[in-house]
Amino acid sequence: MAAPGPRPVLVARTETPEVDDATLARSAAVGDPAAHTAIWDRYNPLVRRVLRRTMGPSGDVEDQVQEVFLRFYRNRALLRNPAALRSFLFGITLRVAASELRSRRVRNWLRLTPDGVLDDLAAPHVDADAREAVKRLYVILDRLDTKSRLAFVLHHVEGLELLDVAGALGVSLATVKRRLSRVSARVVAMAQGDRMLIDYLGTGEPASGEKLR
Amino acid sequence: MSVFPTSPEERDQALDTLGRMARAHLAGNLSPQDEADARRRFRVKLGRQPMEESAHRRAKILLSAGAIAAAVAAMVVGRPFWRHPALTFDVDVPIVAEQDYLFVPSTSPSGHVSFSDGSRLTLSPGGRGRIVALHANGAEIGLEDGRASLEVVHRADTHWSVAAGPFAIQVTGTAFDVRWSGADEMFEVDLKSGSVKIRGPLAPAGIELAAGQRLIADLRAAQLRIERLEPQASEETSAGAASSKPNERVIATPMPRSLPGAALSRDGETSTRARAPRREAVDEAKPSWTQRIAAGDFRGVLAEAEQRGLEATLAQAALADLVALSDAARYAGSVDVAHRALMAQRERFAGSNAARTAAFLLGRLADTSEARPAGAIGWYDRYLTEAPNGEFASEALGRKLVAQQRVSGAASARATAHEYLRRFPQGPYAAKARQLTLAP
Repeated sequence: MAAPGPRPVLVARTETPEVDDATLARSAAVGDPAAHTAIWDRYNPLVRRVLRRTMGPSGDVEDQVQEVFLRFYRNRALLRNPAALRSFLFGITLRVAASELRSRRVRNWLRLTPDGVLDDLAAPHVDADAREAVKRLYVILDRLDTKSRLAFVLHHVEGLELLDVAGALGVSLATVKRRLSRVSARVVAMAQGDRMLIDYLGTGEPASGEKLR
Repeated sequence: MSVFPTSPEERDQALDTLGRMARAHLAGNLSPQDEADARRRFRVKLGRQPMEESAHRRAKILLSAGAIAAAVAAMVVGRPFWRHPALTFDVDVPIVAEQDYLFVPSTSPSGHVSFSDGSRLTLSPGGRGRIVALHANGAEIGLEDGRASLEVVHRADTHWSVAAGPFAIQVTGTAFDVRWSGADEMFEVDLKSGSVKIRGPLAPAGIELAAGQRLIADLRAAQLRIERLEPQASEETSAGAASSKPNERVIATPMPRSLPGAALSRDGETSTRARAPRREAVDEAKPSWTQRIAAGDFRGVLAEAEQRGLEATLAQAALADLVALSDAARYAGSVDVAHRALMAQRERFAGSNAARTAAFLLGRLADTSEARPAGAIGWYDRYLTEAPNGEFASEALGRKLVAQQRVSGAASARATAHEYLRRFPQGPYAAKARQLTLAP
């Protein structure tokens, strides 16, 4: 198993924008469409990536991406610290994701589609086994409650430090630790019941863990 | 027999491995085209937000105010406040009125109908009409023949309509003249103030008329025109005079009778009056198709193209309008119109950037909407030949290799895969291309 690399932190940024976030946010606060478009340009990859990783490989997230930025437009007056634009958008993204996960669960109950999820998006560049394993991982995550799922994705998939996860979810560090401890044990137990995932856990035969249906 | 992770550290390590794999496979990258589409959609929605916000605010205010007013009215008056009585009307002498039927003898001067809300209808000599219905906030008037003028007093919920032959005019607060001749099958509206929406045989989706405009519909010639209204024109309106006015533009010729660049007038003679630059004077008040696409009015653009006559539009429209039409059709899922508009760009504007892009979009259309990957390959090739370093070169080549694999199997896509990796080693289809080059 490869050694884990350093975790990225929430505030990491790879670009050097001409206009800083605070200036953009101030222009956006008065409803300047150009500022909102610039914010879209700067942050839509981050928002899409977080939504994609939260929602999983099934289904499209484009509607949610749009919703995040429209919700930001509608709630722009609530951004008290313009320099915190990125965190503000991140928070909206998580709320939109949580809302979509709840809706998806309802759709699943109502069986609006055969399995409650949409067809896979075309992902021609992935290795088929790994792709299948990722799908199976998200089948497990679909069985978690929304808060646990968000904590798991932010920490293990998005790679945020525990402190950043706590900040993003608006809970204490202790709560995040407790939540992650519970959910990690549960995910591993369920993954051990899945032959496809065992290889990626670095283990052998399935144990008598929680079986996938 | 392997060991399962048991300690919290081992569990975390195992889950981090799974997480890294998910991270790698769920990057959420979009192709440049999809990214551009997403950005365009966002800008369209953003453009609607101020209107939606203000409508939302208005609705909230009205709801609160309405609830309070209703409660007060119910308490004070003892009956709901919204039960306003329907309008009433009086007619003056030249009009021969039989209950709701109105007629002005051709030898008499114009006659007036005065409504209780202050609105006023004037019926010209020889005019025949009917007050079809009276409501608290307006009336429905039928013009059977002749000419009438209506001045509506605008209120918040004013709702008037005038039916003239097969046409219907939706009115809020405005003043206009309307003429209908069943014998000539001619319909005209001169709008002096406000705005109206007119529906009828040549405008099934409705056409908005702005103040200072005249609409003339000639059912025999299957032609609908909008002109700038001359200051004194309302007093002289007649079918013959109308067709000789300047500043006209042809909106609809559903049966494509016209030659390219010319409009067919009522008597069958061809005329070039409908063409720019005079047409621009009238168009000032109306957003361009490109602007309407930006505002998300895809179906409106399609409907207008059909009103103008699709064949004529494809043959005569400017490049910007053709591009807008193909975009509208693609976004609205009208594959056939999109295909024809893209083909028109290639045929009429060969060598232009739009024509090159059209080749790529025709490929995408064949690939995704028409399920013809074989046809798509040809279009991708054409785009790559015409624009080897074009905006969509990476995507065209990537989509081509996927289409080739679907049509003829992995082996046939291998050469394209090698070419892709040589040209775009970091491109979105690089992993797929590598997979194909390694396939047995």
